[in-house]
Amino acid sequence: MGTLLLQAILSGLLNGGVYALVSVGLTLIFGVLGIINFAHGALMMLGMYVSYWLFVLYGVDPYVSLIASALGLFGLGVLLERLLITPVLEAPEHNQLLLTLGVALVLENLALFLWSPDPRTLTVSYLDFAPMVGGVMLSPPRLIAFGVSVALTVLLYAFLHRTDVGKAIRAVSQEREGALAVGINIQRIYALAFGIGCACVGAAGTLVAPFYTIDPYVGGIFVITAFVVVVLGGMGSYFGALLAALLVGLAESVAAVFIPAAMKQIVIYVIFVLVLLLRPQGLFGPGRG
Amino acid sequence: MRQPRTYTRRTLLQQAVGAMALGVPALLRAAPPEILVGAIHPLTGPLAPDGHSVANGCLLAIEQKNAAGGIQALGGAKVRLINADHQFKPQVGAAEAERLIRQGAVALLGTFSSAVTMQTTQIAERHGVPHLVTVAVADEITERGFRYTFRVQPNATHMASQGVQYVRQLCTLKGVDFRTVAVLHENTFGAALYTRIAKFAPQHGFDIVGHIPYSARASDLTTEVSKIKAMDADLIFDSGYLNDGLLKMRTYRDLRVEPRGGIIGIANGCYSNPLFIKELGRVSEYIMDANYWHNPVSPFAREVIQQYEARFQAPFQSHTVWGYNATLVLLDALERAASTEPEKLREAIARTRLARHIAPGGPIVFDDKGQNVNATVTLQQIQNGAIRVVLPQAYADAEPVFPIPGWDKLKG
Repeated sequence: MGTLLLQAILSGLLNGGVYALVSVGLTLIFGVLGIINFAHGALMMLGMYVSYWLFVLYGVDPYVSLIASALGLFGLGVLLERLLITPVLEAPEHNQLLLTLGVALVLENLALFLWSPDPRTLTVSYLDFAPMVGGVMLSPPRLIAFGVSVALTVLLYAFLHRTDVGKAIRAVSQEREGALAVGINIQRIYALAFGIGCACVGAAGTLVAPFYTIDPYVGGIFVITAFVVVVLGGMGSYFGALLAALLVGLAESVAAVFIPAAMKQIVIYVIFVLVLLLRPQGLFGPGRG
Repeated sequence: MRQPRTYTRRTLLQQAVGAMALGVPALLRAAPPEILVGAIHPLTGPLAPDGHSVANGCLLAIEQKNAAGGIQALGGAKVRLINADHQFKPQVGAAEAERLIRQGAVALLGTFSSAVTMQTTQIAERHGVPHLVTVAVADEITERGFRYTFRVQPNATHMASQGVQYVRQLCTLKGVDFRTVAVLHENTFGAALYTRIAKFAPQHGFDIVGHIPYSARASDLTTEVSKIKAMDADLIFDSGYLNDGLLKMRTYRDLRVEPRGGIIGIANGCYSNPLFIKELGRVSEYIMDANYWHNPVSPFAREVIQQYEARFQAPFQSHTVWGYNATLVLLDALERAASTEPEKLREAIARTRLARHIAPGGPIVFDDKGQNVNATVTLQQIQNGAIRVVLPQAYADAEPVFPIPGWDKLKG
């Protein structure tokens, strides 16, 4: 039981790190644009395929192609924001939801058409051996995914708090009219925030590619949990998202030790409902910045 | 024919041509009407490649029959397959079944999904049109007292009972005595399968020490596989789908899960799939799976596989067997019924005794519920990157390697 629990705690935390990177992207987009991005899962899937194809066709190491998938998704995000999101920003919320859902459907079906639904795996040979330490397995690609995810999340946090652009993004998310009044180019900030959110989830896609199965619908598996994380952490709160992500990863994994594993996600939703009932602003602070 | 009569340019043209042909001897003029057969499979979405592989199996059987002169008993009438897409949605499947029957289909084939088949067979039953199940494993499909539903493929009970029996045979064959079994299964189809495994395992001297249900949509299976490892059973029985199977096998590997007997799939959607080998290479080596398969020692089956691959430029799948076989049954019944009248056709199907087919097992014969009593599961093993049948010996094209080697195999 001892090593089993230890293994569960470790793999839960590692998985939580990935949830964190997916969630901060989502929470940033929500915080700044006030849009719930249903295309987030599809964008994560694109990040996975970018690294997969660069690896298969050109032998590019996924940790190198991380840059390509983050930049590529950033570019796509900016483009999507400019072409599709901007026109609906003043539209009713359900229109915005339908729009991002539509983007998700288009991307998923495009992937289905171009790359077939066949699941694929990306095996990095030098990471393909998982050492056992005291009966606990340490999976190198998962450790890297965790480390890089947490580092990127902290980096994003620092960027938002220390740089002028970051502060401008936060200003827009907190007080749009005020930001406008002091001369911040809101359109640019919107595009930037959406792009950064997409870059985060693209990077997350690359990071899970070496140990997860890649297919056109894979994004949903991580992003459904990320939605819960965002609400738990307080919509729009970055630090809250990080902590909530680790908590959810941990809860999911440790729960599987004690209850039938197929029910482990129920634990997340129970926490989710409790938080909504007792602390609707989220576990960590009032959110918004 | 129940086909509604509409006048289009095409029918007018056909009639004009027909009128011009009046001078030709009567024998040539009286071409018998086409026989329509409906096939419902997932032709779009994630299951599309599998759906097409089944539908193409149906098409191949029909094309071969037409090329050989059509249905002799009906004056050489040609058979035409109409494909429909159920998109993996039961309500879409039901609507398509309804449409095909209204269009004049004399029988339905389908559907590569138990949930959809439950619906389409119900529609067929209501209209009194025979429905041959191509691929759908749930026992319940033929347990509802339907008169028009027939299934050639082995059902969940066959998968579990024969699978467990083969594993015992392996033990006897190799002089090893394994008793304890842990079962890792996904929680929808796998859960239904598990209840059958739990029922048949004790009859073959196995003691199930525990089972772990998991969700095929989980982002991590480390804890699940760790729990299975902690059960320390002689054997692991494993059922699930393709994508989760790839994740699971790598997790087994990372956690050094090496049961004394090995990891054996039961009706596993991954371990008998060529993509498993393509994606995981040597990690997949020696893994076994009790599942449906073609008959590798039948020259007829080998010939059909060659023709299929030449015709469709795609690899023959184990699912294709059941599209092809179900269609053979239908064509055979049309000959014997010498009629497309539903009741006569149903009678002919019910009296089927078809020995010339491409699956393992004896002649296709239906019990009074419409299930093929000779449906035979085989035990496959991956050897040198190819899927081989190792049991029953009558259909084997390789010797089993058992107990299954541990992860040291990766060094070799």
